Parts: sequence; structure tokens; C-alpha cells
Amino acid sequence: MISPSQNPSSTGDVTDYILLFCRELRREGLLVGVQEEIDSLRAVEAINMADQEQYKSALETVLCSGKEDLPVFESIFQRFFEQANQTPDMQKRKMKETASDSSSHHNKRKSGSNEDQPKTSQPKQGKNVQQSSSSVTDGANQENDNEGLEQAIQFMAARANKNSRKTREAIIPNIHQDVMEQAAHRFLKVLKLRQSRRTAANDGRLFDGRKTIRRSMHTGGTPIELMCKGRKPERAKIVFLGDGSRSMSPYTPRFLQFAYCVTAAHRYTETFLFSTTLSHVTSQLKSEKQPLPALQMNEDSWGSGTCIGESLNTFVNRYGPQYLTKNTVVLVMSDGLDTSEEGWMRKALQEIKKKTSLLIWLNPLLGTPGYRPEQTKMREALPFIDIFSEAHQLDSYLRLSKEMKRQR
Amino acid sequence: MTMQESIRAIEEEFDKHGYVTDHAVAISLHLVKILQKPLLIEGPAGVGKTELAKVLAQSLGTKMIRLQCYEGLDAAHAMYEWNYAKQMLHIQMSNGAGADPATIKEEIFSEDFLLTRPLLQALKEEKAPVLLIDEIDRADEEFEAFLLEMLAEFQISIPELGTVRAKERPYIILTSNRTRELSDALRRRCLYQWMDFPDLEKETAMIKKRLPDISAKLADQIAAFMQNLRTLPLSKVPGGAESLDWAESLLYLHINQLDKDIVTETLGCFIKGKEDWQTVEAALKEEELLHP
Repeated sequence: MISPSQNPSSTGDVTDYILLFCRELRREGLLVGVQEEIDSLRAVEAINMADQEQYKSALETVLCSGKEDLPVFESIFQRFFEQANQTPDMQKRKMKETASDSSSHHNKRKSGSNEDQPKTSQPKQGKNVQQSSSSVTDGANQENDNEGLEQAIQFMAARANKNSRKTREAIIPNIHQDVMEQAAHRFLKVLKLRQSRRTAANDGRLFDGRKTIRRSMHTGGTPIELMCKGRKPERAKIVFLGDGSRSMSPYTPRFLQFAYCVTAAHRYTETFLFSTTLSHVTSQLKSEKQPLPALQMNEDSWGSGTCIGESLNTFVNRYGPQYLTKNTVVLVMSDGLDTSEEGWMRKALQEIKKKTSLLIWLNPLLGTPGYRPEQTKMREALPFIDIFSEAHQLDSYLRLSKEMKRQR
Repeated sequence: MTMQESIRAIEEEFDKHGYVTDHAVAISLHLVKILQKPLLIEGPAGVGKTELAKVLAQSLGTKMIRLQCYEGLDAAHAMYEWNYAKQMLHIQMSNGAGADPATIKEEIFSEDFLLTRPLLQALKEEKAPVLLIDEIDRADEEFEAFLLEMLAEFQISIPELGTVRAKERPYIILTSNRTRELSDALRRRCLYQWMDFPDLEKETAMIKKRLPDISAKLADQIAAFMQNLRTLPLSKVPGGAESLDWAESLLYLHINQLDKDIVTETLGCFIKGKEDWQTVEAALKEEELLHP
């Protein structure tokens, strides 16, 4: 791989190239506008373009605006500046190698690797896979064109299969919808968030010097009336994390119904489902479909095994900065039957507990006579839970608000 | 000076001030100078984000102005504020002397009655300072909006006074520990640099650079131990700053080699929580950390 300046004949004009590159990044969701394009061009002028490391670092500094952007940038950068310098023969070889890489990558995921790859980057992983083999070219390089074509077709088929991975429907029940709406209403009513330091002092009102001095002009500079700043509204965020594994299949639909009702009544709500991987389903839940929407889930997030600790860690790492704030209430719905490694559950819950206002764990097994939360993972979780409540039937949700009042 | 030399000069200057930097960071700082844009640095606590701004100011031979962000920080504490007490006194005195109210109003909203805060001060400096806006993620989301004009135009608009433009554009460094997501508007106005925990080579170099008296063996051991430690599920993963604190403590204790007992006795130098403490102790018992 070389930077454009090293091979202008094959790469074309540097300006055009960078603009195309910016467009590609924009398509992948990076915050790249006209200003960033101008800055990129100025940046590459300010460095030695023949030095690939400098070239890449400069573009990365200008065009990335968050940690999440870095793997996307890396992937597109490699694809973009690598492919420009490839002959058709090289590209065929690459496709063949990619096919084998793709299958090994797939196997790794199946074997339960806990790599924390963002969901949105899944197609980008494909791109990564596509490029990763550029250095492996020697050896059996004498395949004829037909073999190459066959491999390419296999590769495309593998990609198509991957893209059309089995989906399952998570159906939200609409029976007793009115009762569940009532439960959601009670839940929202009983939520009391920790107030910030600003509003706690002075009964939520802050002295406004500017307004006071302006008002005092009418009274000859004597501040008779003290003016205060308006109270800043506190906005609660509610995060639902539902266990969609097979063992939870009788209970999670009801939890989804509850999440749906809360989402309908409260703006700042996010819902996630997990089985062995985590899925963000808020947009599906907020769709205006009637009757209630059936969520389209991939098989890793619905009706599969359970990796609670890993999934919660994925949530903390990927969505934590956005959703875990002092005004957040987190509801986890799970039986705690976890296959993750020891320590992950504790780490994730510790982080959630530290950053949020309230952590509620709904465990349907609590409704089973004689049940005691003594599994290792549940014991790991208990110290961080503020409210531990049952959720095996409709009434459990009605009782949740009472339980919250009692336990807080 | 060619661009190559400029980047190398940054690296050497940082090295001289005891800061081991990456090539990528040096390129970012070079671009800050060339493009005159703020630099947003994100990364876990203790990887040297704040230190980078300090060393940048030292290497440029300029002043560093620091704005430490916190919840509730507002424009009055970050940009400017009117000196209300002085204004009131002036009104009283002027009224006594029978001055015209319109004139009084004009006088009390002049620069004489303005208290400059860090952002405004950075614009007024004769020589471009380094403005460090530290831990921007601790400030409220609304505060980011106050910063946008400053970050994009290097100016602050004061309704009563007009627009104050920078005499010399300051080098603005923003840091964030990612405790919350920053707005896209702020991100778009900045160059971006992600700083991660140092790798083995960089960590060893950092320790040796900051503590030249330390034995090479101990420095290597500390760096290797910290690399292993960061693979444990800790809630507060120790950064480079903790490695340096620990190395310094060991140096004061005249310790030349790590063993299980010494690590246990000095855990407090780099572990800052009960649960993490127990996790590390358990790992030490199984000898995972010292002999992985």
C-alpha cells in the first residue's frame, strides 16, 4: 500500500482522491463535511505525503471525531489506498484469500469470542476481512482465471449468506395493554432522580447577577429585587436491558411490553436485548406500527444462549458514554443464568452502578417458591443492585412501583 | 523548517521535557499549528492528556491557561463576568454626582467593569497561549454550546460590549475521559486524537525518561506488570501516571526488583478501589501477573 503521491499515474489527482475518500467516510457515517474536506487537503499539504504513516495520521486526526470512527477509518483507508494500486490479477487473488479468511472469522465468532466489535461495524468487518490478506500473496499464485472467478463467486455467496443471517421475531404481546400502561405510568411517577449540585442549593434557583444589575437600574442602582436563573429541568434517561435467551422466553415478551409502554410515555428511553450478543432495538420499539411492533432480531440476540456479563460489558463500553449518566435508571431483566467468564458481570454492573442513579434487576425466578439467588453470577451481581424484584407475571410490573417506594 | 523537521522538532522538544510521545501525536500537534484548529484528545484517565498540553506550553515557551470543567460550569465562570459590586458602587457614586443615566449605563458596561475568565483571557494574550479545556465531558451539555464560537472563530461575543477576537489564536487542547458523549457540533470543530494506554515499549521508555535513576530491570518489570494488570477486569484501569507513581515509590523504597510481597505492599500506588484491590490480590495469589 502506498500513499497517492508515490504513484500519481495510477492513483490520479490527490485532491480528487481525498475528496472521494471523504465521501466514502461520510457514507459510512463519519462526521465529514466540506470543512473537513478542506482541512484534509490542507493537512496533507502540511506533511510529507510520501510517508504513509504521516499521511494516514494526518487524515485520521482531521477526519475522525471519536474512538468509534477509528476502526471505520482504518478499514476504509486500507481498502481505498490499497485497491488503487492493485492490478486486476492481485484483486482476484485477494478475493480468494478473503473467502478463506471470511470463514475462519465466522468460526471465531461462533466459538464465542468476546471481541467487542460495534454492531454498526459489522459490514465494515467484512471490508476489513477483504483487505487483510494483501500481504499474503506468494506461494500458490499460479491459479488460472477460472479458479479465481470460482473463488470470487464463493466469496460473494459467503458474504450473501452472512448478510442474510437468520432473523427471529420478538413479538410484543398486546394482551392487558391497559394494565401495562398503568404500570408504566406508576413506574414513571415514582422515579425520583438525584438532583445535581446546582439545583440542590438555593431550592433549585441560582442568583443571576446580570439580570439583577439590569433591574437595579430602575431603582437607582439599588438591587431591591434579586433575580434568579430558571431551574434547569432534569431529564431522566431510562435504559432497558432484556435477556432474550431461550430460558427467558416466557418472560421477556412481557418485559418488552413494559418497555414499549414506558417508551411511549417517556422520551428518553433506550432498549437493548441480548442473548449471546447485544442488540439496540429502540428504533424498532419506537416505530408507529399498530398493533405493537414485532422486533426483527438476529439469532444471537434472541432465543439463543446467554452471555449476560459479556453483553452488559458490550453495553457499557459501546453505549456507556452516551446513556450512563447520573440521571439514568437502568432496568435489567434476566434470570442470571450466565455463561460468561467470572468477573465480567461484576465489572459491568460496577460501572453501571457507579455512573447511574438507580439499578433495578427484574428476575422472574424470584416468583418461584423456594428460589434463592445463589448462582455464582447472581451473587456477583447482587451487591450492585438497588432494587431486586420479581417479573414473572403482569402484576409484578404493577407492584414494581410499590417495591421501588419500599426499597428506596 | 521543512514539515519533516517540524514534526521531528516537536518530538525532540517533548522528549526534552520528559514526555515520550507517539509519532501520531506529534503529527496532530503539527496540524494544530498549521490548521489553527483545536485538538480534542480522548482516552482513559492517566494516559497523559493533560500533561501533553502542559508540555506543549513549555515547548512553545508560552503561557498555559487552564479551564477545569465541572458540572454546573457556566459562561460566567469560563468566559467573563461583569463586576457587579463595582458596577453598583459606580451607579451609587454617579447618581450622587447627578450623572446622566444613559452615560452611567454606558460606563458600567465597559471593559473596566469586566472580569476576564480563562477563555476570554486566552483571547487577550499578546503571545498565543495554550488553552487547556480539561475534562470537557464533566461540564454540562449546554456548556459545549458556549464553546462553539470560541472553537470555530476564536472569538467571544459579549452582548453589551461587542465581539472580542483573539490577538493571537491560542492553541486549544480539549481533553475528555469519555464519561459522556460529546456533541457532534463540538467534535466537528476540533481535530481528534485518541490516546490509549501505553504499550510495553512506550511505558518502559516513559519510566526511564521520568526516573533516570531507576534500574533498567525494575523499569522493565514494572512496565510488563502493568501490561498484564490491564488485562484484568478492573473498574479503574491504571494508566501511565500510576506506573510512574509506583516506579517513583519503589525508587524511594530502594527496591530494585519486583516480587509478590513487594507488589502487595505497594498496591495502593496504582489500585484505587476495594473491588479492584481484591481482584489484583487474587491474581497475585495465582501468580498470573508477575509470571504470566
